[in-house]
Amino acid sequence: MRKVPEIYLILFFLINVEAFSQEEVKRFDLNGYVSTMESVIFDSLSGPFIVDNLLHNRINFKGYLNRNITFATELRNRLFVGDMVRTGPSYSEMTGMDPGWVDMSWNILNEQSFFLNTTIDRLWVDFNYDKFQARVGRQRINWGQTLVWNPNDIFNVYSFFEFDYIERPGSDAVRLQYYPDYSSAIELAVKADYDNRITAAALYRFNKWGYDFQLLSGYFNSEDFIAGAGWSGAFGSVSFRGEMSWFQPVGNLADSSGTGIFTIGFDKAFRNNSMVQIQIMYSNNPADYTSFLSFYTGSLSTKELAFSKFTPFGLYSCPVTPLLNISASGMWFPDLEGYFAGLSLDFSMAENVDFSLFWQHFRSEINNTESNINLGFLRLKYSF
Amino acid sequence: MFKYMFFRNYGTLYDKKRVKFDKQILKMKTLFSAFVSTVFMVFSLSDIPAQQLSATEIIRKADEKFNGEKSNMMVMSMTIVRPSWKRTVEFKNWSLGRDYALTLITAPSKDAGQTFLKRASEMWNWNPSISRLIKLPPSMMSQGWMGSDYTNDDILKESSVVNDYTHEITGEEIIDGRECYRIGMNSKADAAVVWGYQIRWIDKKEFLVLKAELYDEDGILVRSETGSEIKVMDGRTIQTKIELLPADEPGNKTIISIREIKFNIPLEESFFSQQNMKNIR
Repeated sequence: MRKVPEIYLILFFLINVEAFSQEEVKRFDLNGYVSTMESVIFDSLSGPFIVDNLLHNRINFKGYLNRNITFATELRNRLFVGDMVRTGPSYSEMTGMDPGWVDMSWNILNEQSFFLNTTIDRLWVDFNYDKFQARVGRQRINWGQTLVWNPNDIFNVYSFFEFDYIERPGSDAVRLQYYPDYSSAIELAVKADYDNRITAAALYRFNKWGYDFQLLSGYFNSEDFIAGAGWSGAFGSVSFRGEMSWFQPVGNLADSSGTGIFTIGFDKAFRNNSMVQIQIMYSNNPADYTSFLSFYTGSLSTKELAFSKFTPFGLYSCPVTPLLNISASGMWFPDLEGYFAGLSLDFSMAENVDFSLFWQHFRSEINNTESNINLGFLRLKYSF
Repeated sequence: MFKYMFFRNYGTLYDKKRVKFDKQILKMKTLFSAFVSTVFMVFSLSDIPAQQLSATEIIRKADEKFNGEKSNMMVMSMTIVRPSWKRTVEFKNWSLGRDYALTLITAPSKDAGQTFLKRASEMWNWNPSISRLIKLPPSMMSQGWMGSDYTNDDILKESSVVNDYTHEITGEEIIDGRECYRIGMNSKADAAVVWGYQIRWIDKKEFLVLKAELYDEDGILVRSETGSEIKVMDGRTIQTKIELLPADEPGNKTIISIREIKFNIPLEESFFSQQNMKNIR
């Protein structure tokens, strides 16, 4: 552990001592899931396959001390086995790296052929009184409005490709919220990361003309000023969402070294419950493509969402039968001369058991070198 | 993708070729329409003894009961039964008038904690696992909630059952040991309704709809409904189990069970807020 996490010790103490000490109709929630996922990575069908298995357990606990105070602890245990693990220690080191201010990711077992990681990605206490809400601790602060890329989501970055971790890492943060009326909010949030970099921002969200609008401004990763705006609304029966953020280095306020990320998207659900979604992102200053991994998992910075000046995206999702849903998606990266194509299949096997198949194909041509990467996943998931 | 998890999972439990009701109720907005439909059936009751009421008066009384209620809270489940499988969703619902509703999913576990807020023509979804508030596409709202034949014609259009039909007591029958009026309802020529003809069996004492048959314009039975497991909840006698059976698909049905219900609870408009979406439990 890098620092003594006193605050978390206090939270633990409160949870243990007080969560069950008062009369409440519902005093806690406990749920989660267990999944096993087989994955394969390959360039071409005739080439070598990298095969791995991930046994994954997530536990979510919420304790309600009273009407106003809530605690939460959420953690994930993951057992990795397979070819990637055997390539060397860097895989387990990277997996065990905690981007938060407090290191709460531990490789409990770490052997040549397998490792077991436990990560606490939520640990907060929430005070809710009248129109005020304050939350302290490791939490997810999600300011996104659009559905694929979220330049306004400056406290967490979401990679569309990481379908197996929708919860995403939490931020070690303090978040204050005030709700002037039913659909508006004023928020202040501050977080620190593993490198003691600070992100602090304010957001104002309101509802007008049938749209949700938001404006935000702040200080990002101890290096940039950020200003952003986002909205969700509709043209007729089609949803219309958008976000934009501008990152301006603190030392160069006047010059043109800033990075802007703009995105708009449309989505529509049809009568048979199929859904179409399109989104396009533009950045004046896309991030450099350094490795497939950073491209795939997404950087830790919202500023590096884009790898191409323009990135269009499309998705079609359709219930083939009441229990089976299939979706296909695609992304185009003109500057990388590349694209992504994905296919997913979700089958509800029983009340709480889901079977899923995912296939992701990436193609790019960088420095005249063509590369193809395929990832396939089979997942069986039991939710409790 | 994840944003529509709930809708994908619950919205699509029904076959496309299913009869009108099934098609719609099993979509994502299911919760709301099922809820309203339940309210509708639940309020088809009265504590006034049926003296010499006309068929229209019986229907009107039941309908006024429904329309007259200001607010309520319900804990309920809906089970979709098909020949080879079944799935259940459980939820709590708070509503005020027709414009305000807040729904909390309590099962299955993967969707538990999600909430839906409806205010007039706008609707939001809160997903706690990703801490994300999503404004729902109007296409989702309009198809299931405001726009579907079922909700508009059977539920949301005030007094449709009174004003859009002519009523006639066509007999008296005993259903589950209770004396019922058998009321035939013919749709009026200019009424824009789905059902050409309906038969409702209404309990003489409590005005509970114990059975209903819904026919299309050609007189073909499309769906039947039954109300059973009559209990006293919050001081009222109601049917707590409602089954909906599409006529042409044997083995298929939808079961709505009411676990708890409270009427005219003190709810303000301000209860139906984005803040409360995140805190309700």
